[in-house]
Amino acid sequence: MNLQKYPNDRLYYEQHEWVKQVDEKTVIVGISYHAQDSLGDIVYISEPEVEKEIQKGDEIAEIESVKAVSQIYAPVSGRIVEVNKNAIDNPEIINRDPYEEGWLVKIELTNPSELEELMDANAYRSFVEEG
Amino acid sequence: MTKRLPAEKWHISKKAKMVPFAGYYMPLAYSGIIEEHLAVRERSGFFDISHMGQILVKGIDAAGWLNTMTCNDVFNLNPNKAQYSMFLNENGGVIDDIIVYMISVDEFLIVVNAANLEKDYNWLKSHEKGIVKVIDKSEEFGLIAIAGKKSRDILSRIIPTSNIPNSSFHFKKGVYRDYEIIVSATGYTGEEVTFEIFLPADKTAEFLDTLYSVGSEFFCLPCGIGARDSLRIEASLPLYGNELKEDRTPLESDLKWVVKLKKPSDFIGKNAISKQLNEGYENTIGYFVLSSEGPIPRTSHKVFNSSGEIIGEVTSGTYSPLLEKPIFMAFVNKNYAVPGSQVYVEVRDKNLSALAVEKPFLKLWKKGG
Repeated sequence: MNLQKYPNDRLYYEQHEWVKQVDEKTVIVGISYHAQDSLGDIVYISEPEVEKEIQKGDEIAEIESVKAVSQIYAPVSGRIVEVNKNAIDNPEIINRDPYEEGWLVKIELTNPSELEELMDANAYRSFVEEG
Repeated sequence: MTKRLPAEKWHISKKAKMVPFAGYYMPLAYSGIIEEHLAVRERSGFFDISHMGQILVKGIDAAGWLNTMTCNDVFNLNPNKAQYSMFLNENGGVIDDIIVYMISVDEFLIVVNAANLEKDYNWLKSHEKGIVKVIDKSEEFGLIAIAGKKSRDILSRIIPTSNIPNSSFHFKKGVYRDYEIIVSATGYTGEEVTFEIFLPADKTAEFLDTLYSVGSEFFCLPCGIGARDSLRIEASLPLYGNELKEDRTPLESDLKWVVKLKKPSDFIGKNAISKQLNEGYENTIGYFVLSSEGPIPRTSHKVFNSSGEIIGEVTSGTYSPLLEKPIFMAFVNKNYAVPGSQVYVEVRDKNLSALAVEKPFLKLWKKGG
């Protein structure tokens, strides 16, 4: 089990999504430990559309826990090339392992320079803990 | 102003997420809503429900008077017996749903919803008649609930078994350490083994602590209002403000059994209910299961028939950890509340198909498949 709250091998968006680069033009995206923790038991995620073009800040999925519903936003612009079906079908994975098994979408970047606008682990930690 | 539970510090020390609810800061969850929910269904869980209101009614006319103020029959009670009942208004609408505890022939303790305490108290006060005294005792009482199969075993480790009632809706007064407690076989989860313990407000934290340590041997968990809500929905139990309202009668809330029209005494709301029973009514609370996994239908989401006409709206919805899919109650046209009916519920941009089922939901769950 990965209990690290702010792994430093990735970047973070202000809506509490993380972004991990897999190659020059491709990233995987998920929600942060903090996001899943404030939602509580996740029971549903709407399935993002593969091949869809998205702009940074667009809503890409709806995520619902027993107590509340929330949105997942695109931390970068690009095209959704893959969806983690396993997480869609078993949303509790995101509570258990938000950073590895619980990734949500793979995005092909249209503008890789957007990565520079995201927070690193330290900046994100202060963003969460110091509000 | 938000009120504080007497044991607030205890909850925080157990890492509860505290949220405002019914005018109090309440623990929403400790380890997680689903885990707590399943602890109650499989073993046992306990809740601090000290936010609930307690109103004492005493005097030689207490029983007779209370029978005019509530729709169930107070004369079916005996000392040490409790009864689910309601205060109705003249139109037959529900002012509050309550439990009446008969302490003695001239003394009754009424447990009311926290959010309705002031309203109930004022309403009772304004109707006082004969030799009757109405006293708000809410600040004095703490209230702890424990439910699930192992709950009797756990309680027996703490208090003498002679103080633990053996049948549903009975209660026993006793002494624990140096203070008085009442142990009542009542609850709000649908579990058969269920108790509520009344105790002095300032003893709540130490009792919770005792339950926590004794309960840990049984993997009994502290549970928050999140699990309390999902458990009561799975048990198809109504919540005031959702299923029950001042402009909705018990008939329309699928709780006809609570209204005793044949009891000898008149009671407020009786005429309206008789009339509605004769003339019929259009809508009622129905119980629905989503046909597939999906988002959770929640309060005020619209319900449609297959022709796309609106037939009602959701009153309560949750994810059922037992059925592993969303379930909801809805106030709908009576015809669609009949088990087997198919309806559609609009959750944001999606139209989801759902099936009316018999209550309670948890009967649909068969252990071992």
